[in-house]
Amino acid sequence: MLTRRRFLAALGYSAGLGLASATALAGEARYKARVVIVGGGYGGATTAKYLRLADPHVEVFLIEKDPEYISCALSNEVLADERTLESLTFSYDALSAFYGVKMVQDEVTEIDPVNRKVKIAAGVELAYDRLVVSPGIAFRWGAIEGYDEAASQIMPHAWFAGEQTRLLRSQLDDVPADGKVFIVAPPNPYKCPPGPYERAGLIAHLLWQHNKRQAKVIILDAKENFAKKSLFLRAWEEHYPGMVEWVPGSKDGRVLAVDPQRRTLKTEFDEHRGDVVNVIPPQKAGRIAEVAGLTDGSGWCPVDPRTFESRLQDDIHVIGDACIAGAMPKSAYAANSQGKNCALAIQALINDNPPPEPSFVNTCYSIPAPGYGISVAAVYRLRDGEIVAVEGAGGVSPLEGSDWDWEREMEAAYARSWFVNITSDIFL
Amino acid sequence: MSRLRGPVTTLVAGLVAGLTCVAAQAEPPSAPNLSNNCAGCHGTNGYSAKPMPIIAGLSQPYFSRVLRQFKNGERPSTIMGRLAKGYTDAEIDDIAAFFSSQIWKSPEQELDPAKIEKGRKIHEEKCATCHRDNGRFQNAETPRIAGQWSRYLEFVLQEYWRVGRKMPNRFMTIVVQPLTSSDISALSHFYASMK
Repeated sequence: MLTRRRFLAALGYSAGLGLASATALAGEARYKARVVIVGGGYGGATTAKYLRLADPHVEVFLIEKDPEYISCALSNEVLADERTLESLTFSYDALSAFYGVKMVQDEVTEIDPVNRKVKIAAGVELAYDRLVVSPGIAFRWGAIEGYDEAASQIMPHAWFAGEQTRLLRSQLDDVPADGKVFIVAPPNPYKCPPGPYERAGLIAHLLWQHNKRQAKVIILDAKENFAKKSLFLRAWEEHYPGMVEWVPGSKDGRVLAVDPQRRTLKTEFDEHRGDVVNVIPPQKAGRIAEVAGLTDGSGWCPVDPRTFESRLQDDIHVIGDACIAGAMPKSAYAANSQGKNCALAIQALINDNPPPEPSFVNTCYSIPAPGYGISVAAVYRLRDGEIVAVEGAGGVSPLEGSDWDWEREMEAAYARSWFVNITSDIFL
Repeated sequence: MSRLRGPVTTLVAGLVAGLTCVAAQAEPPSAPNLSNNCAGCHGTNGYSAKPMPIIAGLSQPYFSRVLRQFKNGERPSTIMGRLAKGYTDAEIDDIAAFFSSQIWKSPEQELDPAKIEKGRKIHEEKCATCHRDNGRFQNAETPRIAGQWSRYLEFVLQEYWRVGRKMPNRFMTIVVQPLTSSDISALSHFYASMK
């Protein structure tokens, strides 16, 4: 039985904190508008909660195909036995119980932007005044020859947390003492830019712990550079000297084809065989965005950066990884920040007010070794209709400093605290 | 003439850029548009999960002052300084007003009674002049520390304790430097236990 006390107790507070008003809304019968949200990840679930907090007279439906949410952020820690998948799993119960969000567990099959309706797999239609689409990413299966859904059962992507994470973790047990693990890193843009490199460090940590210190983790990259590169290179060298190797596109890092049966990867000039092969394929906006005509030639969704309203369909907003958000990366924090600004924009539009001036933040922590955190952060504003990073602010953890070890330890503690805070901000 | 063109063009371009910049400066973001972004790390409305500090219910003048210290580098941080640089002083005041309008709530936390008692003695001897009412008192110079997460208090005390770390308050440095690490832990438990 779910109780509010239990939820708050999980965070540590004994009494309600501003949730009292939300509970009172449960009996609301009249709404001035209905907003339907598709996708209950970091973006969609944030929008649902913050829309209800901003305006209790807006009816909010959240349609999500899975009964629970499993966070991809911090799922690399599962690969190093530093965390369980259960600790990444969140229920939608609080959103419905405390904020009056109407949860629908189903898949949206069709969006009718003209008549403003979504169709869900159960055959039901749901009308909306405004629709928020937050589907996350989809893979471009076949962009790497031979890498399709069947291949991902042998060469896991583990870019959605859950079974794929479990599969990759279990394969790592079979790496021989001098074995090779390959990570195929995707071209830009993709979800979680520092993710593949954090993963390399944490896989090296697991192998190191298992006394497989002759083993190698090799990143074959489509790119020439990556987020927090200098910090990652230093972390790998400090913790697992010689174990992690990064191969950029210009050094034949671009993987063109895979053969899952032989566990081989083909680049332009070479062929590699791995004991474990983790392929993170090229990406595009989630399926429903494409089906609903929200994507452009790039495969992503162009939006008005003030409101996140689609540039291609009226009354539909697209947030999170699926949208094109100027300088903002495709991260959990970015989706959370966009969801909040989008909620305030929708509230204004419903009330016939001009949408307010937005302000965005991104913070991405990575933990390339246990107890060792690094970060990148930025504040974003609208300038001439584009989302740009505020100059002179943000940036990565400084590479030098007399308190280096201590700051890494602090950032690791804050990284884990960030995870509890952002997921409480969304699901609690 | 041609010799003049360079600087004049630059000057005109500069003026135009300046004007464009002013024109592009729309109304500033509202307090919620600004402050909701903080919740990703500090919890909804500033009620955080440990060890990230609780910022809901901190006094407005203290909040404004500390964010300015983060912004100008006077107060070291891992990430807060990098983010604070993204806001004007007026926006910092709006954010401070937003969080100071929340009511302080002390979370439940596991604390060691022996450390609390030891911490109480150190508090009375060394800290009570400024951190009055067992750490509940706050003004522009003094944060509320009663009921803050113990782990966070310990982090900050360690920052003051570390030799050579440039910290903003020299009185704190003078008081904290002679303490032992067990004193610091005791103080953190004591203040955390005060609701």
